[in-house]
Amino acid sequence: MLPLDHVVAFSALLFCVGAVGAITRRSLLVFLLSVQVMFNAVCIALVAFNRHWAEFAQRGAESLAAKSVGDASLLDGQALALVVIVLATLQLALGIGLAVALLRNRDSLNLEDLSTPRW
Amino acid sequence: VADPTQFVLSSEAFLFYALAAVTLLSALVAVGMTRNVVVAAFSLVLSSVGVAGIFVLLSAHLLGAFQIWVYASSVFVLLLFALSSLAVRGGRFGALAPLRSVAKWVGVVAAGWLYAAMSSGLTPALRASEQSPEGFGGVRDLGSRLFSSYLVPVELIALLLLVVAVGGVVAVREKQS
Repeated sequence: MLPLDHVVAFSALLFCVGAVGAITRRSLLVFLLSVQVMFNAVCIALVAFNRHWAEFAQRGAESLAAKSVGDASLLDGQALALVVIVLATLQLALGIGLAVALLRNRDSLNLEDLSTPRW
Repeated sequence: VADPTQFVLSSEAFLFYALAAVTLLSALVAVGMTRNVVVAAFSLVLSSVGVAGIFVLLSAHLLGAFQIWVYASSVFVLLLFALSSLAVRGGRFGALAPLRSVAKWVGVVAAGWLYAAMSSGLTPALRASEQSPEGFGGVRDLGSRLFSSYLVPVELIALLLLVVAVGGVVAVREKQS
């Protein structure tokens, strides 16, 4: 049995790594990678809490007769994690498109060159 | 008396800590420890594979498969495409020579991982991760959940995919003069 707090602590650590990268790095591509790391950490936390919740409900299933454990009623966290994965992919696709446009117009991938709203 | 289930559980924990270490280290490399964007992209892929393994350990098998599909294939291909177009245009990333040595090591790691998995070292831990209800986190359960009570978010995401596809084309398009 994996202890829940270890998984959540790892998720928090991974999120902090991504957040530090997103704040400190100036390259747009590395910024996008850092945001992906943060999304991954969020997904791990969601899945871990979902499993914890499912085990909790399974243990209480004898008393809570209404709770049907075998079916798909306990997968909200995983469904949400799937949505987060898709959103992370969309963000990366759009971000790389913006990176190509930025390089084409500014000849640079430095985020600090993005100081004007139009070009 | 040695309890056999005790060993099984501890091997699951061991697998989690190993995967967590790989994920965290490669995320650190991807985020801060290299100036080379190609190396960073490879490290992100390795980190994502570790995250997929953690998903499987947490009995989210379908999500683990999705993680590999999405990150280790499409995101990686997307990233390499962007990098190659950038390198062709500006030449500021230089030759992709570091790609070769990194790819070699990624191949070694992947082959070792595959060998470890196929020599049934992972089987007890995977069996232990199936203590949750039958089919939990599989295609049928998650799919029926997604297409019944999560139908509206799924449709919204489909719309968002379309918008992002169009937006990506617009953003990359050359200005007409």
